[in-house]
Amino acid sequence: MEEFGLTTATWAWLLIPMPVLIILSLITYYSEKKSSIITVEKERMNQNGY
Amino acid sequence: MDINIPTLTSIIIYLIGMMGIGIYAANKTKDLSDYVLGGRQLGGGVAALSAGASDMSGWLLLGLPGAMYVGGMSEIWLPIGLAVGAYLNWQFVAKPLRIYTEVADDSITVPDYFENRFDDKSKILRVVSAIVILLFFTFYTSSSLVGGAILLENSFGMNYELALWVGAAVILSYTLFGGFLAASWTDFIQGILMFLALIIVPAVAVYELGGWNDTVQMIGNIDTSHLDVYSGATAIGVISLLAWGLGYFGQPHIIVRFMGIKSTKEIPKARLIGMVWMILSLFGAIFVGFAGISYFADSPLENSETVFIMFSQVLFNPWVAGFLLAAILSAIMSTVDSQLLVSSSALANDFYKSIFKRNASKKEEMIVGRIAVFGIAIIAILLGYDPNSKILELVSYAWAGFGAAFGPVIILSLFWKRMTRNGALAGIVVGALTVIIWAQLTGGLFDIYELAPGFLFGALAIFIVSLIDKAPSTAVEEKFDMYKAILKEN
Repeated sequence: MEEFGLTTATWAWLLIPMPVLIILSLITYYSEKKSSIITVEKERMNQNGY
Repeated sequence: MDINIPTLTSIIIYLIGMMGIGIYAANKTKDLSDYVLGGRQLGGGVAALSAGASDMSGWLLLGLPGAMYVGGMSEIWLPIGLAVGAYLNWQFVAKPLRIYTEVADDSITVPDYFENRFDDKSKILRVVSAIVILLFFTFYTSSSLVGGAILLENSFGMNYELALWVGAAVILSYTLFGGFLAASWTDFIQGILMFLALIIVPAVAVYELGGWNDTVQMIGNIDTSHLDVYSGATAIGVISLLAWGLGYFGQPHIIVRFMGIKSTKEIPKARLIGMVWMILSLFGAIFVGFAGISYFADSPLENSETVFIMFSQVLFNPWVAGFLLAAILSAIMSTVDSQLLVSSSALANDFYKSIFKRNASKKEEMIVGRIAVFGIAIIAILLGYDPNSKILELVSYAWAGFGAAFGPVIILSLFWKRMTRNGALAGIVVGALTVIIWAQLTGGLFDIYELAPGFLFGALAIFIVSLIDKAPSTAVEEKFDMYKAILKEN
């Protein structure tokens, strides 16, 4: 009996673009969180005068 | 009629629960901003799921699985296009729009924002936007009512026309007495229910078919083209499906959720939750339709868009089936309540108050808003009367209309200081008219999804008219500079 499966291109289109968007969201989540902590810290230092 | 008591009971419990949440949250509503935007107090999670649930109508549980059931993997371009569009919308529009709508005199609706952004004293932008909203939301609402009718027809053996009226009555009662009052909160709960249903149904379906390899094997035996993303693909077809993503930038019922977020600091969290929710839900919908090809091979479905409903009925206990079917109602109602909320404010506030009676009282505004809801519902029922109505076709027309009319205006208004009021007006009119005319034409280039040319021509119209027009006033430019400065700080 012939074996069937999804074509390689189908797997690629299924498993690359959409999961990559989740990874991008994760990266921007952590990078923006980090930059907002730095901003808050800078503001605190400015207020305290050092 | 074939009424299954446990299934019906589950659906009624769900409806009572939703109305309860709506009424509880409504007690906390103090003014119009609370009502429309949740007082700009939405946390990241609520904003993300309510934007997702408002976005994904019955289309997600009925339309997309139906398309996958018919076309197999060659249909995945559509969810890919949507996911990319949603991500770009969260990444590039959410934060600027949240800031600018507050800088622009605390705008709480899209027409409000257009008027305040361009300091349009003539109110023409507001009125034209309201006309576009009323026109295209009628088609969108129709798709939801068709979804409700398909659900009742296939779950309880009701005649289609009767199911359309009964479904509309249920959806409207809920919208007016529950969801309409607290759309963000009910959308959040409904988003969770939709997500669970879209994970459970395909997992159980594939398990029942003997696992992933057996499912694919059976589908290959039926038609190998279902396993290939490029099967029957043409450049026009692929571009058309991917173009769906362009629609995100102009959907009023989705972008108002950006405007309601508590703080711009919540946006990265909202984006992450929203994208995870959306992509897993899209995968769920893809695999529901895909597994359906194999499961229903011996007795093909008369209406492809019933594949999720049929799986709920054949694979699960009637009590569980009731809650899975309630997830379809969730998808429908969470979109309809947000859309009717926008339509009602468009007719009452943007149209009636701006043109006919500038000093209309709050009570009068509310009555006109309710009349708008009923008027739209009646026209939507008539549009859905054709039993061959397809949810996907109705949604695609409305999606294109908003995406082309408002999308370029929203994006350029956030990034281009030189854009003028007349440019915005030209963009809305050209975008909307292109969609209406293009949809009537067929053959060659006219087979491209009308959203793509509508978006392009709308954007060109904005550029050309704005550059010909005299520069915006100093007040408008100062507001733009203030917004840019706040954006930079955030």
